[in-house]
Amino acid sequence: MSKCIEPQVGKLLHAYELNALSPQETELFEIHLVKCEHCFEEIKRFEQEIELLMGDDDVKKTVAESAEGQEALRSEQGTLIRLLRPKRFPHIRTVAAAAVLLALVLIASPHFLTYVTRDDSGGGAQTVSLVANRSEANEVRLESGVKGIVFEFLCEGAIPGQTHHFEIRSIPDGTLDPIYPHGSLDSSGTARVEVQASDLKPGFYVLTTSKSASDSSAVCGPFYFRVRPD
Amino acid sequence: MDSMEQLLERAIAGDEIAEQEIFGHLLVRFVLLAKRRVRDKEGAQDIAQDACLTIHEKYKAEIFEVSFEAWAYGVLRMKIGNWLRKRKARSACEALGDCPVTQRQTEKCEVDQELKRQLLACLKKVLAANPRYARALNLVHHGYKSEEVCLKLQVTKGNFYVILSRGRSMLRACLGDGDL
Ligand SMILES: [Zn+2]
Repeated sequence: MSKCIEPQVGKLLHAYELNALSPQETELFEIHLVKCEHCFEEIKRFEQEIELLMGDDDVKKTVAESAEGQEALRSEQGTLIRLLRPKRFPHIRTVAAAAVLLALVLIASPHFLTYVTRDDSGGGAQTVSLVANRSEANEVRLESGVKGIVFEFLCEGAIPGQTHHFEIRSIPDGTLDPIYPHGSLDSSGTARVEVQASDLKPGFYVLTTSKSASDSSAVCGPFYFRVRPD
Repeated sequence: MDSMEQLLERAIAGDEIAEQEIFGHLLVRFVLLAKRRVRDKEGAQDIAQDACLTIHEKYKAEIFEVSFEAWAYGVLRMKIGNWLRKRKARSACEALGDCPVTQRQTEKCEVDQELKRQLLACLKKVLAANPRYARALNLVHHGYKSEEVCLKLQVTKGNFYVILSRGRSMLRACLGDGDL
């Protein structure tokens, strides 16, 4: 097959197919198409696939799901990096960056995951310890036969004896309806929040805490976690 | 094979074979370009032939500012514009219920279900292996143009085109032999 006669213009090919070029770029590429055998053949050969790629609802849904999953992961990692980024001491940025890298390496390795799950009541509930702002560290693998999940986490701002409001939202928001689970707090500041296992589908979530439904200021957290398929 | 300049030189000098070659070359490209804009296969054929006819009438006397192809493309764009204006007028007559009987409806393509199944299977693999392509494609599906996508992805235009090219190559490879 022939080569593209103007690679600088030819590189616009897929953006043209996807209708992502500006009117000026479109015109530039279309004049190129009149001249370039290679690009013309490429476009002809992939015409039907592009029709589907741009017009089919199932294809669009697949792309959206994949992209949104990536966005969720990025925003979690972004939170982690922002939290670890020194603000007042810029000279220790290099050290912090190394620490972030090390943390990510440890997080990526299943042997160092900090989540703990245990079966509490004869197959009835599974306890998951959450660490604030540790994104990937908080993983939930739903065990078969388990009906409930108890999220356990240290909530420094909570006041024993007072009611607190808990909310679990899927990321991106709106994929699943928010869950408002029942939670309790012991004298050591450890919160336990219960949810139905069936309410959690594989995906990314954030658990937030507040004094009440009307006062959204955080008591502790947020706690990001990921539910992995069994 | 002769270049377009060589063919043009021969055609202007009266070589009919060179002329046929030029118009064969233009016609298939014009059909593709017109179809993309008017979404009507027969309409695209009409436009392409009409453009070729005009080019045939004028090209020997024309002085091309940039190139013959750029000038020919300009003729095509004008024909597409005329056709779209006529279609708009037809839509208005449809609303009034007094259209001429010769008009055609904009066609709807049948979906090739087997191709769709293969494409979806490959797309899943490609999107998982190339998350940046997934994000770029998603933005394009939402109607963003290259500049806006670059801003959102925080990449240069050059990198945006590279992301797309890689995604496309992976998709084509997968559709070809099942591997990325
Ligand atoms: Zn080319």
